[in-house]
Amino acid sequence: MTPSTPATAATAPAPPANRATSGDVARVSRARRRERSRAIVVTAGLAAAVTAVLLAALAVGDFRIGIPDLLARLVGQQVGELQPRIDYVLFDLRLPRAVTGLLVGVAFGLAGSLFQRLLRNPLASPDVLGISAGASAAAVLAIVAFGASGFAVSAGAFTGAVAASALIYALAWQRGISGYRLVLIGIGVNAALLSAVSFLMTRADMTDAQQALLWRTGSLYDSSWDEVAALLGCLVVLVPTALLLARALPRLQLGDDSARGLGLPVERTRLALLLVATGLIGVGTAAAGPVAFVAFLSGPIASRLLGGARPGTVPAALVGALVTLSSDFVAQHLFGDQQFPVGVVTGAVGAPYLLWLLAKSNRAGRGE
Amino acid sequence: MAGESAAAHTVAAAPAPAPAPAPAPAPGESRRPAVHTERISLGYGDRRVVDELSLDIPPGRITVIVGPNACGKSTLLRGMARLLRPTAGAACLDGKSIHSLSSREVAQQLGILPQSPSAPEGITVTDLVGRGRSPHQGWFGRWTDADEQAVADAMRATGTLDLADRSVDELSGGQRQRVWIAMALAQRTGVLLLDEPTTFLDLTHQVEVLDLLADLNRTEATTIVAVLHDLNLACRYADHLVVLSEGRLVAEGAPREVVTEELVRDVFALPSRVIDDPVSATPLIVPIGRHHGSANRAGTAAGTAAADSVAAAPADTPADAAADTPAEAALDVAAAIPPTGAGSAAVSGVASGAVVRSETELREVVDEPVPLIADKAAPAIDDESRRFLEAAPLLMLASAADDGSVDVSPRGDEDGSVIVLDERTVAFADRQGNRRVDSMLNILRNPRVAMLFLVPGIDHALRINGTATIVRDGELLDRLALKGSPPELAVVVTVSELFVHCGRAFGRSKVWDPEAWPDQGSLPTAGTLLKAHTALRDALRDAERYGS
Repeated sequence: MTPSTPATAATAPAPPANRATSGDVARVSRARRRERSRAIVVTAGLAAAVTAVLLAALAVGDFRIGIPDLLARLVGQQVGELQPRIDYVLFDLRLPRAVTGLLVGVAFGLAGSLFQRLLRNPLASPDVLGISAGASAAAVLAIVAFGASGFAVSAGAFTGAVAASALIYALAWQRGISGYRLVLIGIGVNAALLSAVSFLMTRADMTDAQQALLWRTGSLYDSSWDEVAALLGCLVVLVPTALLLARALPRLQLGDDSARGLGLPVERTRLALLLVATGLIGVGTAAAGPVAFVAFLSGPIASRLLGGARPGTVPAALVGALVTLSSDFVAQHLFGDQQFPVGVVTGAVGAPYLLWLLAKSNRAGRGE
Repeated sequence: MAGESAAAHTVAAAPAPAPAPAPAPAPGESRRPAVHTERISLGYGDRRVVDELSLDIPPGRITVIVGPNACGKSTLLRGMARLLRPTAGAACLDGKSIHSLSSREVAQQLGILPQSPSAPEGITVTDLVGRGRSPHQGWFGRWTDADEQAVADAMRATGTLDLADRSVDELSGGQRQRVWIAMALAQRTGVLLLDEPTTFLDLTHQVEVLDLLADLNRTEATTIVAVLHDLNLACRYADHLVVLSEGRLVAEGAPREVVTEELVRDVFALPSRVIDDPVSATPLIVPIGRHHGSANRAGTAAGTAAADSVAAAPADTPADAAADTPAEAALDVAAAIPPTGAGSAAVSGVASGAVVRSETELREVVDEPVPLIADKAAPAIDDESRRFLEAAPLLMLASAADDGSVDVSPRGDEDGSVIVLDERTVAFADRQGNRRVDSMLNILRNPRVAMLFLVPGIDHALRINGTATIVRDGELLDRLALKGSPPELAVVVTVSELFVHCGRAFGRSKVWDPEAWPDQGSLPTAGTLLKAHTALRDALRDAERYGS
């Protein structure tokens, strides 16, 4: 029999032209630009909001600083006879606290969204997975058992975050990493570490326990320029690395096979991303304690704002900063004389979201 | 002869299929690297799924890998795409082991569409297709006009431009699959591997996706390797079919050369009939199943036979077919076949009242035979018959498939058409012919044969009914050697009956009388006949396609 070619060619519609016209290209460009411009608007809006909250945090308090004075001092201009008081309140009290809040928020927001995108699961944030709990356990151990304070606590927290992360990764590894297994193991590790923290707290004397409790809740009270410098130094390395590695996320989002097919060394990239994200969590936790749910909330909020499926790491980092700064503002000023650690407010917002997410993902039968 | 058999006969006369020429590469297309595997073994943990498999993928063609579930076809594809590291052997791209290349180097030359890939929630079509460009951008690359052009090209080729702003979640299965293919195309690779691209699609969309792949193959000369579940679609779209079973290569080649009822039975454990696809003339596998037994099959075989004739058939069993050979399943089928033409609702050129439909009607016309003739069958080969058989240079071999289709073909050798092995057994060589091996295939399905032995100049003839076995090696082949070269196959027939055919037909026909022979030049040559058959077949096909 004759080959099939002529027989099928006769009935099939003519094959489409294989070269797109300039009109086609313009159409594709338009579709791409639409998503891009939304991302730009969202990012700019978030940056503006962060700036506004930052200024508010600097201006508002028992001693109010007018915005013109505030801006003038920030750029180094003289402002008259109130200047010494303004300088003390602004540069010694409020600015270190606000900058710490900003940087910690960036670190948590970025780390959380990296984890969630990487493991393709909104539950897979470091505070659910037990990485923050690892930092807490190590920090509380340092405070209670060794009477540590200041930098030693921070170092302990960082070590704890990395150790917990390594433990979860090792336990979840089974010829590769599956998001769900990692989440389940992470939740288990989280529970184990939290019970270890509780155990340590019951053994501690009163002062240590109080210090540990404050640290655990996550607070920006005693932020100092030394801490800001350490934090900034780490983030200058970690944030650009994270943003570069995040370029792999669009491929990783398509699943391991597709990502490999698109030329990504999947295991290596994923490990590097997990390392950087863990580093961010460790650094942030060391500076301010495990501020509850910031990492968990930032990614999903950024996604909602962006629409589509772009990884949105920069917006997520900005959302992290915005959530932390505004929560701290609320905790300081909205309950009259009563002041709370920032973690109380973020926890109050984050816990209902976690419940909602669990209920929703259970109904839909999937986490993403 | 009934319609289906007539069609089969026409096909028999057609020349062997010539391989389609590779489509000419379009200017400016991406290069097509060569893909092959060298004794590749693949598995998961301790479980070995593909076993030392060597395969060459023909460049610029469509290769389809088929096989039953868990035969290793997807695993093989993953091995070829560098998604799975082989435990031994290698998958190669342009002669280099694919695992010695970086993921990015591979991704620039070879695209893979995994089985049911997952898109992140809310992703837009343009975003997804654009991600196919990432192998060309790397860590620091920026989006360029060339990327935009590649995405637009891919979306045009797949007809997804209209979906540019849509979210992938809200597309139909067929649209979604086209978008994924567009993503793979945006990668601009000369080789495209697809793991079951038609799974979960309805038939319309399956054909749509496969047509799209065929278009790509034609216009860009992209080498395409797809794993498919549907054998018939695989036969239709494949230039090169690869059949796997239990991690091993069972057969490969053009679908027409590869797909037979035996193969389908052996590899898929599926009894079936393989007929010509009326649209594409590729093999079409019609499964038989347990609920559509012999009578129905006979009905199919007869083609035009109406249901009532099938029901009537068992009563009309021809005397010869009901002989005393061992009852095998195949014979039930043979018995169920209506006598050719008889019982058919319409026989061309014959008024329906003139058709004989039962033995009673037959005996109204033809008297019972005299006892001597009625008992003329002998159970074995006596010495006289042996002399006759050994003198006959030509025999006519009749065979029937288990579906009732019948074949007659001549066999002849200078030194006699058969050798007599003993009083119950004869053997003859199957020398190379046109390789259609219709008789051989029939024997495999239904071993019963009849042979009519002819001696030139002698009007009577001997007939043997018996059971045939195909033999592929051994001393017998040497005994049947012609000019020192043994045949590839021999057929051994165990005789169940031997008859003398009286010579009246030969005498009347003057077949042996040179005076009566026609002028050789006045008759069509074999070539002329072949051409006429091809023309007729094409005319019929066109009529079917466009409606007559």
